Amino acid sequence: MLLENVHTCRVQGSDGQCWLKNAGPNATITREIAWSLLRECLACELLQDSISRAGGRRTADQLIGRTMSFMIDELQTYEQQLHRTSTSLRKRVSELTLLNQISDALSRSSDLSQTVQLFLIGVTAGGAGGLNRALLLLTEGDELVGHTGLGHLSREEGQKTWMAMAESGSELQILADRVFDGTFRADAELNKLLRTVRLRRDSDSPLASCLRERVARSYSPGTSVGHSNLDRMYKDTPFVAVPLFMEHDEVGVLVADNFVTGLPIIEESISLLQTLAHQAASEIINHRLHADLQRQLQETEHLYELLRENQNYLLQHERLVDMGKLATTVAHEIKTPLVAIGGFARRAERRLQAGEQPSQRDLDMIIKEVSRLERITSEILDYSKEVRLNFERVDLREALDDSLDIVESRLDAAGIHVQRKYPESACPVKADPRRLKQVMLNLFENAIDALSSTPERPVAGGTITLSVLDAGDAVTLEMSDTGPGIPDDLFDRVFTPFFTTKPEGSGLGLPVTRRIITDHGGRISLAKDDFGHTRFLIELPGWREPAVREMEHVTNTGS
Amino acid sequence: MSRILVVEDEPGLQQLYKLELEEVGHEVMLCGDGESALAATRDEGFDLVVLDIKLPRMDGTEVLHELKKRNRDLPVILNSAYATYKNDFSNWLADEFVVKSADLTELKARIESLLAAPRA
Repeated sequence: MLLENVHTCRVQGSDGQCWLKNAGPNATITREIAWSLLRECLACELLQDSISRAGGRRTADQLIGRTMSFMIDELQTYEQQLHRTSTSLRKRVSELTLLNQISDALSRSSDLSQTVQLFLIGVTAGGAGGLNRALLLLTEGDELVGHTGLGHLSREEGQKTWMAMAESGSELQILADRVFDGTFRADAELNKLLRTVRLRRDSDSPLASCLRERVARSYSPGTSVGHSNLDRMYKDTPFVAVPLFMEHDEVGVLVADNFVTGLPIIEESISLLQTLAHQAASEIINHRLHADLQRQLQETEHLYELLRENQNYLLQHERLVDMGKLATTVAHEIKTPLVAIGGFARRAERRLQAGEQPSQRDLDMIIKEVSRLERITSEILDYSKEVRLNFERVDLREALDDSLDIVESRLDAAGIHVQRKYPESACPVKADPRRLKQVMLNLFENAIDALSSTPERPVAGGTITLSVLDAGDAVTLEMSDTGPGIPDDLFDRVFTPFFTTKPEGSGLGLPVTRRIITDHGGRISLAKDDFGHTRFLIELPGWREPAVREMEHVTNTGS
Repeated sequence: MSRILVVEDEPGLQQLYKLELEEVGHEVMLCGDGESALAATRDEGFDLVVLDIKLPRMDGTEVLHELKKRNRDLPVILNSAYATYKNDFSNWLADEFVVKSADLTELKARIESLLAAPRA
C-alpha cells in the first residue's frame, strides 16, 4: 500500500485519524515520508495514540525502523558527496595558491629567462601542476624555436629527481627563490637537445598548428611533432601541447608530459596549464616589448649622438665661415686707412725728392689715419678676445651716473637733456664695473651721435631717457633717445660686426656692447617707440648675496 | 681742366684723391654716399666719376646703373678695395675698374685716357 499524500497531513488525515492507523507495516517509505515521520509524526499525539493501541505498535516500530535505515543510507550518500567536494575544493585551493605564487613570481621576474624558468617550474611543481617534464618553444619570426626545458631526458634521472622532490617537498617558493638568486639549474642535456629544435610556424607539426589554432591538445605516444629529436622523446610518451598567446601575439608553445609517473594528463591539469600559459605569455610579451623599446632607445641615442656630432661639425664650420667673413671685413677695414696712409706718405716722399719740405697737411693725414687704424685694430682685438669678468655688486643707478659724468661735456655741447627715472633704493646688479661702464659709454655715444646735428637734422639736441626697474632677479634698463631712429631696413643689422652708418664708426660698438652684456648673463634688444625713436632694452642679472651653501658647493666641485 | 666727382665714404681717401687730382689740374668734388652723388650729377655737369662700391645705404653698383641710365657717355671708374668686384657682371657697365691702392698712378692714368677719348 502506498502512502500517497501523507506528507500533506501535518496533523492528521482527512478523516481526523492518524495515517498510521491505515498504513500497513510494508508501506513504501519515500524520502518525504521519512522526513515527515522524523520531523512531525514522532511528536504527534495522534501517532502516540496509534502506537498505544496494541495493533498499531508493531506497525509503527517497523515503519520507524525502516525510516531510520533509509535515513542512514541518505546520510552515507551525503558524506561521500561531501568528501568528494572537499577533496576537489582542497585541490582547487592548492591550484589557486600555486597560480597565485606563480603569478606573483612572474610579476617579479626581471628578464625573459627568469619568466620562462618560473613558468616551467609552475608547470612541473608538485601539488597542482605536477607534470614530470615541460619544454617551451618560443616564436622567432616564422619559426618556433626550442628555448628552455625543465625535467630530464632520461627516465632514470627523472625518477631520481621526482623522488627527491617528493621527499624534500621542494616547494614552489624555494625553486622560485633559486631562480631569483641565479642558482637554479635546468638539465643541460635536455636543453642542449631542445636548442636544436626549429619548426616552421606554417608547418603541419602539431605544435605549430596548436599555436595557429590557439587550442591546447593531448597527443598519444608516437605522434610526430616534425623534429627527429623530439619525436624520439615522445616515442612512447603521451604529451600535451598548450599555446602561449595574447590577442594578436603568438608567443610560443608549451609541451608537457608525465614520462616518469606515467599518470594520464587530465582535463583539469590542461586547463591549469592554459591559465599558467596565458600569464606567462603576457609576461613574455612585456619582456619582448621592453627589449624592443630598449633597442629603439639605444638606436635613438646613437642617432642623437650622430646628430650632435654633425651639429658640432656644422657649428665649427659655421664659425670658420664667420671667421672668414670677419677676416675679409677686417682686411677691408684695415686696407682703406692703409691706402690713405700710403697715398699721403707717397706725397710726402715726392716733396722730399723734389728737395721740398713735406706738407704739414699730408703728415697730419698720415697721423690721423694711423691713429684711426690703431683704434680699429684695438676694437677688433676687443671684440675677438676672451674677456675675464670680475663680478661685483654694482648699483646700476651709480654706474649710469658715473658714465654720464664722462660724457657730460658732449651732452652739454649738443644740448641734450637726460631724464632719469630711477627707483629710490639701490638697484644692485652682478657686473664687472669696468665693462659695464664701457657698455654705458657706448650706448651714450650712440645716443649723442643720434641727437647731434647732421645735414638732414641741422638742429642738435633732444632728450635721453633712462628708466631703471629692479625686479630682484634681474634689473632692466630702458634707454631711449628722441633722435631720428634707426631705419627699418637697418634694424636687424645694428648688432652685426663692422656694420656702420657713420663715416668714423668701426661698426663694432654695438656688437661689443652686446657681447659684454651676454657675458654678464644679460640681454640687450632694440625696439622702437610709437614715435620711431630708438629704445634699447637691457636686462642684467640682479646681485644676490652669496649664500654659505653655494660657497660649499663651489668648494666641493673644485676639489 | 676737367670736373671730376669722387664718391668715397672714407674722409682720409677723399682728401687724398682731392689733393692728388687737383695737383694734376682737375676740379674735384667730393660725395660721401650714393644719394648725394646722384643729386650732385643731376645739378652739375661732370666729365668723369670715380666711384667706390662699398658705400653706406645705396652701394656703388646701384649708383653706377643709375648714372649710366641717365647718361651713357659719362665715364665712370669703379674704385674698390675688393678686386673680386671686377668679376661681378653688374659692374661691367663701368668704363674702368681700378683696385684701391696707395699708389694712384694707375687711377690717374685711367682718368687721363678716359678724358682723352673722343666722346661718341
